[in-house]
Amino acid sequence: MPHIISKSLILFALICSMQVQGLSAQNPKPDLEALEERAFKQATAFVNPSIVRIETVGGQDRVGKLITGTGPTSGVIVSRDGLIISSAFNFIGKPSSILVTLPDGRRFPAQIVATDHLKMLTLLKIGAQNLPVPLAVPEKEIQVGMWAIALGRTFDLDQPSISVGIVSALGRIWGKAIQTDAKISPINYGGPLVDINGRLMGILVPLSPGATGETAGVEWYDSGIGFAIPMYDVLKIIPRLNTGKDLHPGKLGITLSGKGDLSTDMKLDRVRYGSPAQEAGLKAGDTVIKFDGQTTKMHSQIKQILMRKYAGESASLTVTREGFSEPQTFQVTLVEKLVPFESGFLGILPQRTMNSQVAGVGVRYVFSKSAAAKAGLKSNDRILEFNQQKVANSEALASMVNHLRPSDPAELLILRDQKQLKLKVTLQSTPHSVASSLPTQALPSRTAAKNEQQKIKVGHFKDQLPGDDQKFWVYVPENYSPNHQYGLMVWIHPPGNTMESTILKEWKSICEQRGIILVGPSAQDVIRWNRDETEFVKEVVESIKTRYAIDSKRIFLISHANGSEFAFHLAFKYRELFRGVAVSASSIRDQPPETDPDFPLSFYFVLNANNPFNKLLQPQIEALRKMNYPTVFQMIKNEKPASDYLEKPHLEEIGRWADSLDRI
Amino acid sequence: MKENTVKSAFVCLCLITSALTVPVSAQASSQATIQHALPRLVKIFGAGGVKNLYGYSTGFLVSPQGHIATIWSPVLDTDRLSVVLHDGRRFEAEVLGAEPHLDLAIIKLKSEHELKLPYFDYQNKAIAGAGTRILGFSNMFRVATGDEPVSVLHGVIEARTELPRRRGAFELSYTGDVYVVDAITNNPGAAGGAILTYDGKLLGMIGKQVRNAKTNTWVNYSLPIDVLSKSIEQIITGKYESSENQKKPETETPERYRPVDFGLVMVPDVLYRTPAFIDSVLPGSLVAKAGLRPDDLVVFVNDELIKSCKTLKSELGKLESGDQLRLVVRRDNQLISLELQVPPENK
Repeated sequence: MPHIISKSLILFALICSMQVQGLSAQNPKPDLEALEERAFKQATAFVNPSIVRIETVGGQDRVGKLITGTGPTSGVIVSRDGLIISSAFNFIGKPSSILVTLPDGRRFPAQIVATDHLKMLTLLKIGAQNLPVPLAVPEKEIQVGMWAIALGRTFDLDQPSISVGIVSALGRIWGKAIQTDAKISPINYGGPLVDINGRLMGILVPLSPGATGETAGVEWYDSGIGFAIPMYDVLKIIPRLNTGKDLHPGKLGITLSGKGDLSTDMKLDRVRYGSPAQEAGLKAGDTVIKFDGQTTKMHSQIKQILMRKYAGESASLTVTREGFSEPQTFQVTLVEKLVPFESGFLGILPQRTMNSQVAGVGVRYVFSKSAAAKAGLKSNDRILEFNQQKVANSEALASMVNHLRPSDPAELLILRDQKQLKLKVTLQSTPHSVASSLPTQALPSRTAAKNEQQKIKVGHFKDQLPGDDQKFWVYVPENYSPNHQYGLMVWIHPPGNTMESTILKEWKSICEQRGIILVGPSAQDVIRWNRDETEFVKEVVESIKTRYAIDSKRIFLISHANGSEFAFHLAFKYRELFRGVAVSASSIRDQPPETDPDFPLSFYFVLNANNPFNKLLQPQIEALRKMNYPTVFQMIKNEKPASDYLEKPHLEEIGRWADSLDRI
Repeated sequence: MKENTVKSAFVCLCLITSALTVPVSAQASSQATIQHALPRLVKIFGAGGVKNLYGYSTGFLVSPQGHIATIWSPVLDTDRLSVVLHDGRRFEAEVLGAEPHLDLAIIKLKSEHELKLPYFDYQNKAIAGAGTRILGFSNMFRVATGDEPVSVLHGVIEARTELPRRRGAFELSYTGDVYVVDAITNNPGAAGGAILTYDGKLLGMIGKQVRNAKTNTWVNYSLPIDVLSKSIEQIITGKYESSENQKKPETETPERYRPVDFGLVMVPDVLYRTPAFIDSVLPGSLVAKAGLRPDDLVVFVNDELIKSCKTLKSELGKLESGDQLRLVVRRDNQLISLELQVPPENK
């Protein structure tokens, strides 16, 4: 190190002396441009011995939409005994072999030691000794407006490529990077950003404020927006990377209410189940006042701190909580991955009753091969206790089961033929299928006349919300009885066609049979659903809920073709309202939110094999199932047009699916 | 390798000379250079205007009589070629000659009077190295209208290097050195423009829009004036011999040798980039005697990086009987190099 410092001093002196010479000898006017140009070249020459060329063999030819380059990339020596830091981007193709060439022409095979997935750096090791380690600029000397020279070694071995700019900003991308207007591209990713004295400011990497991942930010190449990870941060993480373990961004598992980075609403909107935040004891409704010891008054301040932290690191969160006069502090340990929560599944349908006088939950149906079936549970048993806790009603039982995981053991106390019985069960996963037959529950029936007497509207009718001219239609089974809870099917029509008569015709008998009310809101302009019409659909559902006896566990959306996009949007926006989405002839466009045991959501997809969405949908189904959403997928194999509406067998299956949305 | 040493010597020389020489004149500055250059740049309007073909480009005057050097492009493929000078004067022009191999064309303004226009001395073959400040002049995006002069950009030379281009739509036939610059010079209509050092030396002509094959990114480059100079002179003086007829670049790579001719059996080439791992070595073969083993990864053939089985095939295919073959393989974590004599061709 002293050896390098002395070298730099000499160079410094050299530059100074030349400037003096320039002033005194040749020119009445100092030629600043020439002096600067000279300094660019000398800075380059100074750091040159520490910039290596990296070549890769094999690997993928494309990553996502990006065609990976085949050319050499750059890296910077960071230890005398062969550690080299480079941009993770240079290894996205997962090459099978990496070769490093030093500026003097010596070649070495290299191995990846570890990758930092937060700062997008990869540490390499080669078997060389006495390598020249460059000098770093002290953190506080770097200022916006300083010269910044970006170097790479992809074109020629004997001369680094040079691009000159200034430092445009510090602490960019949530505190991670120096921003520069020098041209940054695959030509110099992994190379150094140096100051006018040739001292290292940082390592060039592609970054993006929104996206994460190895290719994020590449679209900004040569745009005047380039990034470098500051050297003082790089030096801090090298010992950690050198242990051979990858570093990952740390995740906390909270969502704040209020939208946008500038929002000052610091109340926790959601605390993800099973996340570090939830395990530490944080709850939705808490208001964050301090994070990691720093006062936080704005969403962006939380992000600034969080986005710099690695998985495995701890932080403290101080919140105010209703009912507590003093702020509460919780210690959280961040994790690499927030595992999607998977609720346990007992395998029963509860008896639907509006009578809450009787203790426990009656069993209406036991799914075959389920945990309940294996434990010997039978229809008409009453579940009195679950894990030694009294079961008041089916909602309470569902909540207890949903908050456990598959393969968790549980104990049931049941009542069978007036005798109490203890059963042990091991919970399972909710199956991605529909029972092939499901007896309907006996419905109390009334005559239309009686309903008319009580001014309960039944049958097919059109309606409007009070004070609103947007229309919707309703079908209430003729034998509707207010003494029974009904399911609610919300039909979201595809753009351009309300399909009212088709839907009514196809679903009428199933609705009667399964006890479901059908409602079809119409888009303001039938041509398309506007996203702000979600409010209207919600109001329609609320209004039906107040006028009829609706089981809130069985409110679901159905749609066809490109109406599905709006249906999913509704389901993800109002998770407390909808329990299922069944769509035909369509795929899913919105990214679903993570699963939450408090808001179970099920999906049903049915698609003709010759529908062009087929290829798109299959991986989406996989992804949904990976996120632990119970997802049924049925393929139709016939010669009919792909966009035809469903036929009987699938309508009936959706009926059974809807009739089991209150499963536990 | 030889070329490399020459190149590095050149770069060193550049560094030294640039460090030692005094500026050309006392007034050397970007501003003086811009004043000097703008009257020497012209806007060219011709054929095109559909889809990705722009109907305009840039050129620079290389004689007082109105000879203009520009890019050889479909813009010139018209009977109604017009040129607008920096001051708004408009001329008809004709194509005098072209060197498609260098993407160079010379056009001449039609005029009944003798023209005395300012021009660049193309025979002063300036050369510059990485880090040199440059100014780029072009009619990019046709943003300069009427009597407005062309646009000026600034930057530095990133490298003077041979440009690997992506095969396909943007392929150029020119294979020599170019200046890659860090200013975004290569825009629609910019081709045919000029880059100058900040102190006024003409360095090169801005090229077409192409992608760098090795990184798959757009590249900003210019054709060096020291390469163009001779052809410009020949076309102007009418002593032009197109290099096109002299030598056709080899389009197909020869396949004189296969890996098996040396005793190499490679792993099946199933991927887009199957790494060149040796599957087995034929007993008694050249490579067996040299000590190669199964699972060795071939990484270099005569200093060319072997990225895949395909590159190995093409590199071996190029060899000729009696050549020295230098192989570098990676075995575990070591590089092992060996040299063989290429055997006579097996017909």
